Amino acid sequence: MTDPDFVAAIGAAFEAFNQRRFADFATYVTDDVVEVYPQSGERIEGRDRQRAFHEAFPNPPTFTVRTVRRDGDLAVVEVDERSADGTVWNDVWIFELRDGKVASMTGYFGQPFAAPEWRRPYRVRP
Amino acid sequence: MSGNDNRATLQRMLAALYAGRIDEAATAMADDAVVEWPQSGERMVGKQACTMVYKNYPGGSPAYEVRRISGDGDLFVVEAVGHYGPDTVYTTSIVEFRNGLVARQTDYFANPFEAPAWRSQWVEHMELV
Repeated sequence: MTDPDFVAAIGAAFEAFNQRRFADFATYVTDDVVEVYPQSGERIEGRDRQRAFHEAFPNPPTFTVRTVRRDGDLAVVEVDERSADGTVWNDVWIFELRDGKVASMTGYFGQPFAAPEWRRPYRVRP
Repeated sequence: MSGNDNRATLQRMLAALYAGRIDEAATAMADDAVVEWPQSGERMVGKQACTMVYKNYPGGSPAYEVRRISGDGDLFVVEAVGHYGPDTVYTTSIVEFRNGLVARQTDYFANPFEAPAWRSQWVEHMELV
Protein backbone atom coordinates (compact mmCIF):
# COMPACT_ATOMS: atom_id res chain seq x y z
CA MET A 1 0.00 0.00 0.00
CA THR A 2 2.85 2.39 0.77
CA ASP A 3 5.94 2.68 -1.40
CA PRO A 4 9.37 3.16 0.22
CA ASP A 5 10.13 6.32 -1.76
CA PHE A 6 7.02 7.99 -0.35
CA VAL A 7 7.87 6.94 3.19
CA ALA A 8 11.34 8.40 2.71
CA ALA A 9 9.89 11.66 1.36
CA ILE A 10 7.58 12.05 4.35
CA GLY A 11 10.49 11.37 6.70
CA ALA A 12 12.61 13.93 4.87
CA ALA A 13 9.86 16.56 5.02
CA PHE A 14 9.43 16.22 8.78
CA GLU A 15 13.21 16.15 9.26
CA ALA A 16 13.48 19.40 7.29
CA PHE A 17 11.02 20.95 9.76
CA ASN A 18 12.97 19.54 12.71
CA GLN A 19 16.13 21.14 11.39
CA ARG A 20 14.32 24.39 10.62
CA ARG A 21 15.06 24.02 6.91
CA PHE A 22 11.65 25.48 6.06
CA ALA A 23 12.57 26.20 2.43
CA ASP A 24 13.18 22.47 2.01
CA PHE A 25 9.88 21.63 3.72
CA ALA A 26 8.11 23.96 1.28
CA THR A 27 9.29 21.88 -1.69
CA TYR A 28 6.97 19.05 -0.58
CA VAL A 29 3.75 21.10 -0.74
CA THR A 30 1.73 22.71 -3.54
CA ASP A 31 1.59 26.50 -4.02
CA ASP A 32 -1.97 26.48 -2.73
CA VAL A 33 -1.46 24.04 0.15
CA VAL A 34 -4.01 24.25 2.95
CA GLU A 35 -3.04 23.33 6.52
CA VAL A 36 -5.94 22.79 8.92
CA TYR A 37 -6.18 22.27 12.68
CA PRO A 38 -9.79 21.30 13.45
CA GLN A 39 -9.22 21.37 17.23
CA SER A 40 -8.55 25.11 17.18
CA GLY A 41 -10.41 26.01 14.00
CA GLU A 42 -7.23 27.28 12.36
CA ARG A 43 -6.62 27.20 8.61
CA ILE A 44 -3.47 28.38 6.84
CA GLU A 45 -3.75 28.89 3.09
CA GLY A 46 -0.85 28.93 0.66
CA ARG A 47 2.76 27.84 0.70
CA ASP A 48 4.14 31.32 1.40
CA ARG A 49 1.92 31.87 4.43
CA GLN A 50 2.65 28.37 5.65
CA ARG A 51 6.38 28.99 5.44
CA ALA A 52 6.10 32.32 7.26
CA PHE A 53 4.03 30.60 9.94
CA HIS A 54 6.64 27.85 10.29
CA GLU A 55 9.49 30.33 10.51
CA ALA A 56 7.69 32.27 13.25
CA PHE A 57 7.21 29.15 15.40
CA PRO A 58 8.52 29.91 18.90
CA ASN A 59 10.43 26.90 20.26
CA PRO A 60 9.42 24.61 17.39
CA PRO A 61 8.61 21.00 18.26
CA THR A 62 10.48 17.95 17.00
CA PHE A 63 8.62 15.29 15.02
CA THR A 64 9.31 11.56 14.91
CA VAL A 65 7.40 9.71 12.20
CA ARG A 66 5.98 6.39 13.44
CA THR A 67 3.91 5.09 10.52
CA VAL A 68 3.12 6.17 6.97
CA ARG A 69 0.19 4.80 4.99
CA ARG A 70 -0.73 5.79 1.47
CA ASP A 71 -3.42 4.73 -0.97
CA GLY A 72 -3.59 6.80 -4.14
CA ASP A 73 -3.81 10.49 -3.27
CA LEU A 74 -4.59 9.90 0.40
CA ALA A 75 -1.83 9.49 2.97
CA VAL A 76 -2.02 9.34 6.73
CA VAL A 77 0.98 9.68 8.98
CA GLU A 78 1.26 8.92 12.70
CA VAL A 79 3.81 11.15 14.37
CA ASP A 80 5.14 11.69 17.87
CA GLU A 81 5.66 15.39 18.52
CA ARG A 82 7.97 16.55 21.31
CA SER A 83 7.42 20.12 22.43
CA ALA A 84 10.27 22.27 23.65
CA ASP A 85 9.02 21.77 27.23
CA GLY A 86 9.35 17.99 26.86
CA THR A 87 5.65 17.26 26.46
CA VAL A 88 4.98 14.48 23.96
CA TRP A 89 1.93 14.59 21.70
CA ASN A 90 0.59 11.81 19.52
CA ASP A 91 -0.32 13.38 16.20
CA VAL A 92 -2.11 12.10 13.18
CA TRP A 93 -1.72 13.95 9.90
CA ILE A 94 -4.06 13.47 6.94
CA PHE A 95 -2.42 14.41 3.65
CA GLU A 96 -4.21 14.91 0.33
CA LEU A 97 -1.76 14.67 -2.54
CA ARG A 98 -1.84 16.28 -5.98
CA ASP A 99 0.82 15.51 -8.59
CA GLY A 100 2.99 13.99 -5.88
CA LYS A 101 2.88 17.02 -3.58
CA VAL A 102 0.90 17.73 -0.43
CA ALA A 103 -2.16 19.83 -1.34
CA SER A 104 -3.79 19.70 2.07
CA MET A 105 -2.64 18.61 5.52
CA THR A 106 -5.00 18.23 8.44
CA GLY A 107 -3.40 17.74 11.83
CA TYR A 108 -4.85 16.33 15.03
CA PHE A 109 -2.89 16.51 18.28
CA GLY A 110 -3.65 14.03 21.05
CA GLN A 111 -2.04 13.38 24.40
CA PRO A 112 -1.10 10.04 25.90
CA PHE A 113 -3.60 8.62 28.40
CA ALA A 114 -3.59 5.73 30.83
CA ALA A 115 -5.29 2.54 29.67
CA PRO A 116 -8.33 2.06 31.94
CA GLU A 117 -8.65 -1.05 34.03
CA TRP A 118 -12.09 -2.05 32.73
CA ARG A 119 -10.69 -2.77 29.27
CA ARG A 120 -7.97 -5.09 30.51
CA PRO A 121 -9.89 -8.33 29.79
CA TYR A 122 -10.36 -7.39 26.15
CA ARG A 123 -6.91 -6.22 25.13
CA VAL A 124 -3.62 -7.93 24.46
CA ARG A 125 -1.58 -4.96 25.64
CA PRO A 126 -0.57 -3.17 27.74
CA MET B 1 -14.59 -5.34 -3.87
CA SER B 2 -14.24 -1.71 -4.89
CA GLY B 3 -13.39 1.33 -2.84
CA ASN B 4 -16.98 2.51 -3.25
CA ASP B 5 -18.19 -0.72 -1.66
CA ASN B 6 -15.70 -0.27 1.15
CA ARG B 7 -16.88 3.30 1.77
CA ALA B 8 -20.50 2.14 1.96
CA THR B 9 -19.50 -0.64 4.34
CA LEU B 10 -17.61 1.85 6.49
CA GLN B 11 -20.57 4.24 6.59
CA ARG B 12 -22.89 1.41 7.64
CA MET B 13 -20.43 0.32 10.35
CA LEU B 14 -20.11 3.83 11.75
CA ALA B 15 -23.86 4.43 11.74
CA ALA B 16 -24.45 1.16 13.60
CA LEU B 17 -21.59 1.79 16.03
CA TYR B 18 -22.71 5.32 16.89
CA ALA B 19 -26.28 4.08 17.39
CA GLY B 20 -25.10 1.36 19.75
CA ARG B 21 -25.98 -1.49 17.37
CA ILE B 22 -22.67 -3.19 18.02
CA ASP B 23 -23.49 -6.62 16.58
CA GLU B 24 -24.58 -4.97 13.33
CA ALA B 25 -21.35 -2.93 13.26
CA ALA B 26 -19.36 -6.13 13.79
CA THR B 27 -20.57 -7.55 10.49
CA ALA B 28 -18.23 -5.07 8.79
CA MET B 29 -15.18 -6.34 10.70
CA ALA B 30 -12.88 -9.21 9.75
CA ASP B 31 -12.75 -12.01 12.31
CA ASP B 32 -9.13 -11.13 13.05
CA ALA B 33 -9.74 -7.35 13.11
CA VAL B 34 -7.34 -5.29 15.20
CA VAL B 35 -8.20 -2.03 16.96
CA GLU B 36 -5.33 0.07 18.28
CA TRP B 37 -5.33 3.19 20.44
CA PRO B 38 -1.75 4.47 20.28
CA GLN B 39 -2.22 7.13 22.96
CA SER B 40 -2.73 4.45 25.63
CA GLY B 41 -0.81 1.70 23.86
CA GLU B 42 -3.95 -0.46 23.80
CA ARG B 43 -4.46 -3.17 21.21
CA MET B 44 -7.58 -5.29 20.85
CA VAL B 45 -7.26 -8.36 18.63
CA GLY B 46 -10.21 -10.15 17.07
CA LYS B 47 -13.73 -9.04 16.29
CA GLN B 48 -15.00 -10.52 19.55
CA ALA B 49 -12.60 -8.49 21.73
CA CYS B 50 -13.22 -5.29 19.76
CA THR B 51 -16.99 -5.55 20.10
CA MET B 52 -16.75 -6.38 23.82
CA VAL B 53 -14.98 -3.06 24.39
CA TYR B 54 -17.76 -1.19 22.61
CA LYS B 55 -20.47 -3.15 24.44
CA ASN B 56 -18.93 -2.61 27.88
CA TYR B 57 -18.09 1.07 27.53
CA PRO B 58 -19.16 2.69 30.84
CA GLY B 59 -22.27 4.76 30.22
CA GLY B 60 -22.47 3.42 26.68
CA SER B 61 -20.19 4.15 23.78
CA PRO B 62 -20.10 7.94 23.21
CA ALA B 63 -22.06 9.31 20.27
CA TYR B 64 -20.08 10.82 17.44
CA GLU B 65 -20.88 12.83 14.36
CA VAL B 66 -18.83 12.16 11.26
CA ARG B 67 -17.19 15.29 9.83
CA ARG B 68 -15.31 13.78 6.90
CA ILE B 69 -14.41 10.42 5.41
CA SER B 70 -11.34 10.42 3.14
CA GLY B 71 -10.29 7.54 0.90
CA ASP B 72 -11.56 5.52 -2.04
CA GLY B 73 -9.71 2.21 -1.90
CA ASP B 74 -8.62 0.06 1.02
CA LEU B 75 -7.45 2.98 3.20
CA PHE B 76 -9.84 5.48 4.80
CA VAL B 77 -9.59 8.18 7.43
CA VAL B 78 -12.66 9.10 9.46
CA GLU B 79 -12.78 12.45 11.26
CA ALA B 80 -15.56 12.67 13.82
CA VAL B 81 -16.60 14.82 16.75
CA GLY B 82 -18.05 13.41 19.94
CA HIS B 83 -19.36 14.75 23.20
CA TYR B 84 -18.53 13.22 26.57
CA GLY B 85 -20.84 15.26 28.76
CA PRO B 86 -19.59 18.85 28.42
CA ASP B 87 -16.34 17.82 26.74
CA THR B 88 -15.80 17.81 22.98
CA VAL B 89 -13.52 15.10 21.60
CA TYR B 90 -12.17 14.94 18.07
CA THR B 91 -11.53 11.40 16.90
CA THR B 92 -9.50 10.35 13.92
CA SER B 93 -9.74 6.74 12.78
CA ILE B 94 -7.35 5.18 10.28
CA VAL B 95 -9.35 2.33 8.77
CA GLU B 96 -7.78 -0.39 6.63
CA PHE B 97 -9.87 -2.84 4.60
CA ARG B 98 -9.02 -6.35 3.46
CA ASN B 99 -11.36 -8.32 1.20
CA GLY B 100 -14.19 -5.88 1.83
CA LEU B 101 -14.01 -5.96 5.62
CA VAL B 102 -12.34 -3.73 8.21
CA ALA B 103 -9.08 -5.46 9.10
CA ARG B 104 -7.46 -2.74 11.20
CA GLN B 105 -8.59 0.47 12.84
CA THR B 106 -6.27 2.91 14.60
CA ASP B 107 -8.03 5.58 16.66
CA TYR B 108 -6.82 8.90 18.04
CA PHE B 109 -8.66 11.14 20.49
CA ALA B 110 -7.94 14.86 20.80
CA ASN B 111 -9.35 17.82 22.71
CA PRO B 112 -10.03 21.36 21.48
CA PHE B 113 -7.39 23.99 22.10
CA GLU B 114 -7.25 27.76 21.83
CA ALA B 115 -5.60 29.14 18.72
CA PRO B 116 -2.30 30.74 19.80
CA ALA B 117 -2.04 34.49 19.27
CA TRP B 118 1.49 34.40 17.82
CA ARG B 119 0.34 32.86 14.53
CA SER B 120 -2.94 34.73 14.08
CA GLN B 121 -1.63 36.90 11.22
CA TRP B 122 -1.27 33.84 8.96
CA VAL B 123 -4.42 32.01 10.03
CA GLU B 124 -8.04 31.98 8.92
CA HIS B 125 -10.43 30.98 11.67
CA MET B 126 -13.07 28.37 10.98
CA GLU B 127 -16.18 27.81 13.01
CA LEU B 128 -15.53 25.26 15.74
CA VAL B 129 -17.82 22.26 15.94
